[in-house]
Amino acid sequence: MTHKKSIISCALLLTSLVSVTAMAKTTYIPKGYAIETIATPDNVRFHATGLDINAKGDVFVATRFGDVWQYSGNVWSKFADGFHEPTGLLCDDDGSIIVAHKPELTRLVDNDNNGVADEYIRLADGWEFHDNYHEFNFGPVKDAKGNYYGTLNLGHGVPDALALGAMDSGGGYRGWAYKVTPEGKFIPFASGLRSPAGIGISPDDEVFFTDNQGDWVETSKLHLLEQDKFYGHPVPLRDHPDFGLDKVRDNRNNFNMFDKLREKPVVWIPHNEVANSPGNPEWDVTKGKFGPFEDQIFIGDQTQSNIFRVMLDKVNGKYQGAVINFIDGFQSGNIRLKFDPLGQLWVGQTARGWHSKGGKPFGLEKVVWNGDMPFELLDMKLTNTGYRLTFTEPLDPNTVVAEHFKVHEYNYVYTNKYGSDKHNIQTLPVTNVILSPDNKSVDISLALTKGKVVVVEFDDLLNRMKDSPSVTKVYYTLNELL
Amino acid sequence: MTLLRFEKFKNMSLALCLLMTPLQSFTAAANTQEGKTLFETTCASCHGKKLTGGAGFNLKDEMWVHGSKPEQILANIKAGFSQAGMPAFAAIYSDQQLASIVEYILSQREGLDNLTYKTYHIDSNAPQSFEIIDNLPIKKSGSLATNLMDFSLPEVKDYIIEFEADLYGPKDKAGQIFSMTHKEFFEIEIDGKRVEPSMTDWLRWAWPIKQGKQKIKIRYTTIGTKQRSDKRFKMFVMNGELTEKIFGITVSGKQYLNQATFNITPDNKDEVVRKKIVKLPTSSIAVGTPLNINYAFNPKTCSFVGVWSGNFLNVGPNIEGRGRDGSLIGGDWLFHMPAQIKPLVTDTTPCEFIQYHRSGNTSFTYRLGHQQYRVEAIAQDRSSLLLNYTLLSGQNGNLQISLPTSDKFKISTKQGEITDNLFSVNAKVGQSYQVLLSASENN
Repeated sequence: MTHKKSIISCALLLTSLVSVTAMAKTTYIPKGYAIETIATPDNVRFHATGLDINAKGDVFVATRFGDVWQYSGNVWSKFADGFHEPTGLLCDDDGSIIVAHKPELTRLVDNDNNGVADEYIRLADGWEFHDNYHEFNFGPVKDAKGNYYGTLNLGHGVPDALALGAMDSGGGYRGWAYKVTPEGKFIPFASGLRSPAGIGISPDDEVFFTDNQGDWVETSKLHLLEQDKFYGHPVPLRDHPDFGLDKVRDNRNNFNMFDKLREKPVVWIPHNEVANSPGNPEWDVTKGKFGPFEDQIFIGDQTQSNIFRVMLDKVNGKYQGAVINFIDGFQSGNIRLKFDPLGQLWVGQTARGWHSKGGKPFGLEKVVWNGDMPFELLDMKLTNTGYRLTFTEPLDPNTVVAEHFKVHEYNYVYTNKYGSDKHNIQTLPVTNVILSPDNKSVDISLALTKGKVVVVEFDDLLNRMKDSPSVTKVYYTLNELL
Repeated sequence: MTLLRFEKFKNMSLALCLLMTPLQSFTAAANTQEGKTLFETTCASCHGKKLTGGAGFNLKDEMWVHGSKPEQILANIKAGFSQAGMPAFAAIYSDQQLASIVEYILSQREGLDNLTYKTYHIDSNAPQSFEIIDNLPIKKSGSLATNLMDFSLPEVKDYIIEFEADLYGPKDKAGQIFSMTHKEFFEIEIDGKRVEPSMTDWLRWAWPIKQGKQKIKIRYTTIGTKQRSDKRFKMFVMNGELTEKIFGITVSGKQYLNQATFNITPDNKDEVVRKKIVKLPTSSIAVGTPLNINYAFNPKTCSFVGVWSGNFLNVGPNIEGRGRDGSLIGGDWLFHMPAQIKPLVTDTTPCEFIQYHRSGNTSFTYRLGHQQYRVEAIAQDRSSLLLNYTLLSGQNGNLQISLPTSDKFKISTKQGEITDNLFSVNAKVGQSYQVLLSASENN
């Protein structure tokens, strides 16, 4: 073709593909970690909103423009094109590529092994798409049984749609999560989603998703995805057999009813402080290649241009946990994360239409670890008397005193308003601290109330080398008490 | 606008463009249809079939460097711009022919003309009303040769600005002024009558306008608005359905549309695009062929839902900003939805789309009940498209396809029969059946 895309040949030999980011304004980053920028193909709108890496280390990227690019041996080549604003990509076990774009989940097959897809197979399209800009299709992830999962964004400004706030649904499972069986059957899986821009699957084969702050969503959040559950935004219930349009409309101000029906998030992600538009949860299963945070969840944020960690805690059989910032100062909006076989964390980026702190409109970066042990909060677990905070390195015992743990709690309020302020902000005195024999863990005692976000700040904690952690504020979502 | 801008013609070969004759013959001789025909055969190669420019100027927008009046256009055409590659046409066409061409150009006019402005400085505690300007001195006034509004002209914190102009709206349909603003305060008059907004959504304000030429007055006050907001508002004229931004009427609006241009042109193979496209149903798969006949297949109905000749697609509107707007075809429709080429389906033989295939001619595979078909669309030339249906599996049976009708094209077949806009053939497994769509010669 002769248009602007034609500047790109199908295989671009790029020298000096990796360069250290010079423009990033990083204010927090653990010791031993660095951001590297990957050169993307020249003259390509490389908004990297779908990202996966196969076992060989080949990187596949779906762009919002609609291309699928392959990065193998430091060479970019275009594998497919023409999609409608993809926001997800999966390298499937059989070598095919699955693209989640607005109208369809499409499987790409390269029959003649020339590096270019020739078959574009409809895997699923059992939802309605009204050509609305906000009706994204996120995913997929695949479980051990071969089922695929995705999430469908609500619309905004869809004609004649149901709106009880900012976002709306013209029907057809907008605001639902879906499952596609290995036989190709589309199953509406769960409802009440708003802008569920990130979906991921844990090493234990459990699917989680993030949702963005907005109407009916107090602040961004991470949920465990379970069949037939309701996650809080009432508009998708127009497609639920127990509701329908009229019942949803009749209860538009019945916040209490919807609150009782909904699932509580695994973690609340504080707005502006941690994230505004989180992407997919990505588990560190690198077996130490990426540092000490094994099995933890990493999530990027499109607005904050950062990455934060989630430390899960299973209490009374239910997940809850803590979030803490990890690295900021990326060049664009972080929407997709994926570990490669070397244990490097790739970051797909976009900023078109929605602001990001990183000024570039799109890009691809990765986070690498050089093996130096950082001094950071490693984990946070609920105890019978408060919390156990575990660090990556032994603490300076002299700094482990009660007044060095500043704690407060607050809660959000669930309404149709666009986000929630913090309510009932209250300082929680720490009454006791106990340092573990290895000096790595501290048990802090304090009075806790469930239904709160508990914020622990530890600016004055030091390790034996008198270093401070790069991030000293952690947010624990306390749904359950022991 | 002017017919030519010299710098645009540095590399232009002979531009066969326009000419005119004495003005007195202008009105009497004008014949827009004849002018259209002459323009398309002589001028469109440089100025574009839709007058939107190419090697030569855009001839329908608000920018006329050498004057927008008929006599000015006439003079320019008559003399030509030899340095820029545009010859003088005085000796080539008759007076009557030239008059018809000029009338046709003027009939396609879009945008603002004769734009003037007045600014008023106000106190920060002034009422949010435009009546106060009756008692305020005009701080500054003048005309804007760009014919594009800029609401940030006053360099003070609190002000009212008023624009007046001739607005050339869409000729064939009512449009709307559309503003990507929120919590800003405007007042709009069309031909002296105040117009209420038809939409006041977030970043989506709209006011209906008339067809064709009209007088417009737009006022804006900073009172009650976000003081720190960027006053370089993006304003456009859109179609009545608010699905297509036709042209910008502010500096930022025009810049936005310029950025929202991304043409996809098939070179030596089909280009396939799945995006929002104006006049096509959601989920459509648009295919552009190197022979400049293009089509769209809809997987939800296994139907061809549009065919057009000429340039393929400008996807810019769908990839700029949040991508709210639909892509625009570059050529001329032969048909589009609700007209379609559609296999007859029943409750027991629903259409189930399987896949499309992209090596060679693009093809689509689907099931109708127990039968599996593949249809391949093969461009024959710029004006004809062959649809090759093959029954891949299942039982032999009747293949029936409903067809659209129009004087823009003809549909024929060498197999089966076409009766009452229905193509029927007794299909056999492994056999192929063709339907040929050919544009009419006058299309």
